[in-house]
Amino acid sequence: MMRHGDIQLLLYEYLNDELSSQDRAAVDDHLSRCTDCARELKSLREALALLPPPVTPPSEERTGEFWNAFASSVVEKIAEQKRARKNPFVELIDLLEDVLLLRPRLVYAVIGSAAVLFVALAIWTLYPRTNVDVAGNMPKLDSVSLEHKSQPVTFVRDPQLLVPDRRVSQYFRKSKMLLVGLTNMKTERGEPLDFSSERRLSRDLIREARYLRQQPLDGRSRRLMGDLEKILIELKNVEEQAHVPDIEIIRSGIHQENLLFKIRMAEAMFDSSRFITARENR
Amino acid sequence: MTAAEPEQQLILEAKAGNHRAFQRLVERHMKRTYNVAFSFVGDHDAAEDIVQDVFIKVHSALASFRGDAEFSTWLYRITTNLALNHLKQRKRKEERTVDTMDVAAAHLGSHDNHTEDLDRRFHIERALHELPTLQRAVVILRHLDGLSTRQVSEILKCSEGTVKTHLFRGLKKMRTKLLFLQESGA
Repeated sequence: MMRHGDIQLLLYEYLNDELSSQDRAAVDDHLSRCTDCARELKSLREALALLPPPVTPPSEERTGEFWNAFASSVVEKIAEQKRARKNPFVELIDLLEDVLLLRPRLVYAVIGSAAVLFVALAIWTLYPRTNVDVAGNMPKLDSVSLEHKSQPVTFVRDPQLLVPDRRVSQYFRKSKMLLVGLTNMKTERGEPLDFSSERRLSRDLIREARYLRQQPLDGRSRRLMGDLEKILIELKNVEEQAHVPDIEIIRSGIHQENLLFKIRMAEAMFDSSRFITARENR
Repeated sequence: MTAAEPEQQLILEAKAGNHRAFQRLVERHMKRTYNVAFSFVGDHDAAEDIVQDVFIKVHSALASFRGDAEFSTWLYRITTNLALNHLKQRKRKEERTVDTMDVAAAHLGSHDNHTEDLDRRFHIERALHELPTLQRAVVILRHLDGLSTRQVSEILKCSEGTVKTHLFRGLKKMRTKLLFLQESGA
């Protein structure tokens, strides 16, 4: 059983007597029962009456002489174009025209791919991997003052400094994880502890800090890195199977220097500066 | 070469650089190509230019013709694209009303001089040109040029169902736009 939509799409062929006898019978049967489709048929018949195909093809309105000369004139024109072969730029334009005409989908595919590539490149290029002018954009956040144990802790962002924020922030985050892990480590006297992974991480962080300290960096971060480096060097130098007293020394160093607190403050500063930058860039 | 020479043979020879074979291909298809071009642009001079360009393009692209579709289908596809490009350029250059008037005026010399017929042609041209591009192309190729649904689907690179749908919708729109002609008996 055909639906209205199917029947209506056959009406043109029905009126032009182009349907198979089976389809024609199906359309006839449907039309005898469906007033909507019968109305569509009437409307289509009127359209065809208003728009008759030309009785005389337009080509017949041209003279015989015109057609006798036409093919040879085309061939001559092609030969002329070959003779006049042109500079490479014109040839390139012709080639592009041909491709556009004969392979439009290929052209759309190439243009689409180029656009995607361009957008990807733009994102990759513009994504803020370094904090080049973040300080200059944020005068209000240049200073974060805090009081802790009656000693003021102040991080000052120097607008002239070029700080690779993301990397510094990552360095602080990793250091914090290491120190927190060390601080919370359960120790039982007499049993040696495996410090191989901590030693490895300490070595990596020392290397990273040395790189970062060669970069333009604000004074507070630089000092904090210096303090951290002392602890990290101690940690790097402990034996793989260290004993509790060794670890206690390092823990007390972390505590005395207030390192975890300082790291959290530094992280907060970097995070808020990134947040503000993103908001201002929006 | 004879008129009954197989088309494939002519295409192969033309691909190999035989100008005579290419000329035979042009002779074989030029009138039908002209009719298709004329259906789109409604102007003999423009149709002539388009058909010349079509065969020049065909000559330069013949090497890439793989024979997946019939040669005539490929030819009409190029014709349709060039005709649509021509219409786009013309639309940019001229006001639509002036444009359509010119088209109608162009018919005057070649068809007949009756004012009623001119009016009718003017309105039909305008209604056709107001259709969306694909609908217009389908109405022209399928209804005015008498190509089969399959040929039109291959030329426009769409399904036969799409051709039927566009034809049905296009003709219905044409009826709505031209109904006043029937009522006024113009």
